[in-house]
Amino acid sequence: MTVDPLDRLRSIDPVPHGSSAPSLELVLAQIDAVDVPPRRRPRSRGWARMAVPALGVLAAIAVVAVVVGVVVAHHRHGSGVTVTLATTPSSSVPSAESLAPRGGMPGALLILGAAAPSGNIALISFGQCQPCYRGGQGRGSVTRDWLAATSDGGASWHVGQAPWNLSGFASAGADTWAEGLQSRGHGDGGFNEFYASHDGGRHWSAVSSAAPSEGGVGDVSIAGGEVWSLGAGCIGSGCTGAPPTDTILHASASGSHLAATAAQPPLGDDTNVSVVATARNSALVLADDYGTNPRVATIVRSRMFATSDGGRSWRSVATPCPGKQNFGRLYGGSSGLWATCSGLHGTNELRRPVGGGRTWVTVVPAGNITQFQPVSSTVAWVLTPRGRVLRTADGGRTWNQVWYGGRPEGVALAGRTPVLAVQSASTATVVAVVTHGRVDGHAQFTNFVVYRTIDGGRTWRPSVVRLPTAG
Amino acid sequence: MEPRAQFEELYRAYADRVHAYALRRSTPSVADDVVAEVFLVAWRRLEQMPAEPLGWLLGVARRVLANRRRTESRAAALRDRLARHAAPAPSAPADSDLEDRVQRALAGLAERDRELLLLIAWEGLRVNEAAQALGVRSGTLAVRLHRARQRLAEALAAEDVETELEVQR
Repeated sequence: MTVDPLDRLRSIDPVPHGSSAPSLELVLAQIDAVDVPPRRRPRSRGWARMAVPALGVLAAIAVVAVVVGVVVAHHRHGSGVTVTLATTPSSSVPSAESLAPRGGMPGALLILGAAAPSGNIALISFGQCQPCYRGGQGRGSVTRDWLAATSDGGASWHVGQAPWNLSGFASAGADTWAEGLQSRGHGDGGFNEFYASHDGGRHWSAVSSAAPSEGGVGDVSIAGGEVWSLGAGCIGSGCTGAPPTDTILHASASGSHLAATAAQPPLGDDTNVSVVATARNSALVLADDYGTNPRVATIVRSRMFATSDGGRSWRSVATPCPGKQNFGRLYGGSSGLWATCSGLHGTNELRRPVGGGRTWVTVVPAGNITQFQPVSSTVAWVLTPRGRVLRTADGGRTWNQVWYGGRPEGVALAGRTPVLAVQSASTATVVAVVTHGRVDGHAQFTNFVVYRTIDGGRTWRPSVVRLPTAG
Repeated sequence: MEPRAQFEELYRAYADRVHAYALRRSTPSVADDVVAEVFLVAWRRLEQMPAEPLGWLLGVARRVLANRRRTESRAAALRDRLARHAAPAPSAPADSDLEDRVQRALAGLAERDRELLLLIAWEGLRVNEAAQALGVRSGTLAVRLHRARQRLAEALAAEDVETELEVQR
């Protein structure tokens, strides 16, 4: 007897008896919270504004939470490299909790991104979540997007409500680009866009692009006066039939339109893609292909493509991550290329190219990193899940712990560590979240305390970001 | 009908189906969020809702899930999927060996075939609904489905033969 192959598929349905969706009331409450009317006309793009709480959180950790090895001291890796952690010099640095004033902004503040574009300028993009269930991902949360900026190295901050959240910053001189989700009040109710500032982050505008942003993945990269990024397919009925594959985008860093490159590397439908600009007209694209079968949690293949003619042609090059590993990601660019390869079972590695990129080698042992920010082929900064900032000055052979902020209360609420924004080999900014009080287990008021170093982490100067108390 | 009432009717009729679709491809917490996101899109586009909206809704869910995978921390997503592996199965499999064989056969198919077959087998979509979910014409999908079924049948047969040979050895 022949059995219908579809019947055999049905026999392994992991949800054979159906399931129960969240209650209608909860979903209606969320719709009321974001206050979006039904659309009158079809548009080609539209992203779920309801995802703001979740995407806000995800955006803040979009580039981060890539698992790499740094924390485990004295652990020897196969490459023979030993990681050493110097005694922290931050013992004289006052804790964020001791510096933060009482009160602050109501609710929990979720850092969406931070950048240090140039000189004394630094930016913090954050969402205000009220109430903030499960770190902003729960139902019934209302968020507002804000942008805090300083132009005097953190001595004073200007905080203003932003029409969009900004994340995934990339800067080169006065030009700073970001991804983000446009807030309500702009007609559509929210969709992912690219944003650019050409004056060091003082003024921002949404830029047009051949494909919408993926919304905070952080795949914006600048090198050689050009910006490269990744556009997503679109969602909703207006996009029916549109290809789901990602699109490689390219523009002048001082421009205002991201165009699709003339040729596209052969990306799959279900692919994690990482893009990094390496020089003028040159970029690398790392693509990890995986299936959607929930029981096949593995990368099918990892591929990397390079262009040196502005995207008119692409060639295959050696991938940084061996086949056994998953979720590769590229960092750096013109001054030094790095990659993280996060494994399926915790074998997470930071890798560097050798022989002009013909092969890649591991430079640090396994561990966890929340953020990785290289600034050259020798200097890189990392933030660990426990709130430690480490810095290498020898290409990842040795690491020194240069800051430790612990886990203040607010951080525990948001489920994350502080945020690190790096400007150069010597200048970096750490943003710590401090929460005061609880209402039904949720944050009542939240503040930021910012630490900045200009000497490679030997000394840190703290300052408090003065936040509006209402809103 | 008022938009609000129309939306409530839509939600009551299809939310569980969307939730089940998401649950088959993610974790319970993600499935909840996916439902919320899908129905927010539905709320915004209520006037465009087709008469038979299931395929449209699952098409949105498919893209929401794909977008989440891309925007989420890759490591976190992987942990979620691993946690799902570690968690007890929603229902006890009738025969783990049989299930393994079907899983292997399924995993060996092209992604395009796999998604189409699962929309039909697990989500119970008709051809026109699956076409809507995948954004292709019904005629095109019918041809793809026919070929995908053939490829699945061949893969299952190969798995069965392989297993029999293993038993004989």
